[in-house]
Amino acid sequence: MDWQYFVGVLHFVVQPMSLFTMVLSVFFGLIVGMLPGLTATMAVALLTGLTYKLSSEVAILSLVAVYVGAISGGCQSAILMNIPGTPASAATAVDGFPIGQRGEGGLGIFVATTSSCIGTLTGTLCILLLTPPLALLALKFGAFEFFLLALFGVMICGQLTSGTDPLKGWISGILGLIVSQIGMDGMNAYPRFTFGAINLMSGIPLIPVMIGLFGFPEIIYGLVSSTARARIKTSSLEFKKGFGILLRNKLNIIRSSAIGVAVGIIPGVGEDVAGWLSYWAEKKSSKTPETFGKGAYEGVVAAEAGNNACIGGALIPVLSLAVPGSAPAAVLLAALWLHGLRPGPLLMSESPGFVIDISVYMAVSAIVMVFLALMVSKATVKILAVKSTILMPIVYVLCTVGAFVISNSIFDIYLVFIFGLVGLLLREMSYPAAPFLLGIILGPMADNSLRRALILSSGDPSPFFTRPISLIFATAIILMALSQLNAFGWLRKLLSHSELKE
Amino acid sequence: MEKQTHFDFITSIALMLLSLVMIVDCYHIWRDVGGDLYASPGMLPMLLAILLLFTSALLLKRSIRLNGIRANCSDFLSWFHGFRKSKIAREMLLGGVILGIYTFGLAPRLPFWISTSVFMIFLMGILKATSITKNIVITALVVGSIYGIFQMIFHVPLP
Repeated sequence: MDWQYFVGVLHFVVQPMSLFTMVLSVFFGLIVGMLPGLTATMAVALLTGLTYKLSSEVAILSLVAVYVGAISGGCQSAILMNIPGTPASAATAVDGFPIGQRGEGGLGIFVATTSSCIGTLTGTLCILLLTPPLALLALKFGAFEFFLLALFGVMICGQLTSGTDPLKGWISGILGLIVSQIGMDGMNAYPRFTFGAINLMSGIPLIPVMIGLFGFPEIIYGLVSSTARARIKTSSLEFKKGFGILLRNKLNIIRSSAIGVAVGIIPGVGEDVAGWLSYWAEKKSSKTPETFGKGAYEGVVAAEAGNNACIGGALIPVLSLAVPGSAPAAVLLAALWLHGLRPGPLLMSESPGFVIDISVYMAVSAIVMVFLALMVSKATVKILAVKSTILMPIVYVLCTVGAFVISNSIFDIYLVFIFGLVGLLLREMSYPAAPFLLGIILGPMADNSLRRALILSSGDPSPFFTRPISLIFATAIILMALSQLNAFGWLRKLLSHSELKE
Repeated sequence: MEKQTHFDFITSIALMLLSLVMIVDCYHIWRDVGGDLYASPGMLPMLLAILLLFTSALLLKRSIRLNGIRANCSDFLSWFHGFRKSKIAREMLLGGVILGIYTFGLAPRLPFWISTSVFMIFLMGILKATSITKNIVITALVVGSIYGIFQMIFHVPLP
């Protein structure tokens, strides 16, 4: 590391103007991340316009800070209302909301926020250390690997979120993948399942679906008088207990952060997938997997450390290849271009200190974020005490605004309602909504990758099983499916029968 | 799981029908576009429809094995009758209808501040959330803050 650059950027960050900008940006990010429907991508995009007249250093500091704040802020609404503020915190809601319902919302937010900070710091360290070698590994992912990665992600999510019934989780995931196929396809521009509706030509947008699936059922249940009084109890932040939980989760944090960084490096796979994969890995290695989904702190720690570490991971391909690792990173890349920087292979020679600049901005933003998030959480925890008959109409208005402002389309508000009904049905019929959402996220990638892969191999599917990374994914998918279909039980029976005959 | 078998029975049949319709539709997409199936826009949807058919068939088989066809049908009918008479179901339906009126009726036709004020005052009034004065103050604060932040600071249009 070049210490001259390091000292220079630290000196810049501690200037009053820089600190003020950073605090304001992190705060803005936290608020946007907390509000259902307003995502990190949108926060970075909104701020890009406002930072146009600032110097490039202050502008980039502010954009990195808002990115960190927005990804971390999503956990608060996930824990308190079961509405992930951003797709990245969808995995946090699985265990976070039961924690909130148990009256431990304050402790849950403390654990989640601190895990987010540690995750971001780990991601920062990885930007500094791993940019060149890991960017090379990401380049080895081709169309075959991307398709299997999408399938693997949906299957894992289905298995994780459906409790004892993975079949329903997989059905939910397949339905999400099917919904993602609506609209013109990416290769032939053929309108699929649009029934002539112009609004469906560009496909089903993610954000209104996410708000509807997760937000609408909560709002409807909140409006019903007999369920409205269930969430009044709350708790303070409980630092001592929180640090105890974090210490017990040392390995979990390290593993989840590593997963987050690795997922971030893969272009196009964002913080949401990182959160789910980290959650899955923790559940798999836990001695008490049955507690997951019922308010296990391990789940919250894994999801938050994973999704925040992904920020650093997603910036690695941005800086080294000019390929964004996630949607907010894509907007950040555009903002960097807007401010005259040219990320990519030439960045190290053109702006040698820039990687260090970004790393320091991220690290300081993460620390500022913890203090701000905990301060804000004192107010957000009190949300639990507000009558849901007052809160839920406000949440619905915010949901519709969040859906509308992305593309200024009234159709997106209709989608919130329609997918809200779908979410309500899924919940009533005991189907998890999260695989459905992940299916919509990964569907376009799965479609393009599958067809591109098969076109490259002239329709021959064998590379799915001959390329090393593909083979790993394919084996994992097949084993997962076979284990749930009780194929190993049949095999055991078959073997014992043949032994008896002999 | 047994409590849900009548739901599983009904949903699996509906999903199987959906997947069959999709398979036919994907075949038409392939015929329309021409070329090899593996490069067709109908390729992945067809694969997904086949997977949905397979998983739904497994769900149907399980629900029949656990409860039988006749018991599943009668359980579903009795659940439906109970649902119609349930107070919670009626309240949920009322809430859904009001949200629907705001979504499809008020928001697309009226300016944001009018549609949202009418919706919030009406909904909180029906739910007897608070006194009418507090109701109006809360509505004004919410509408004012959203309008101020989005329209005035970020110049983002509202519905």
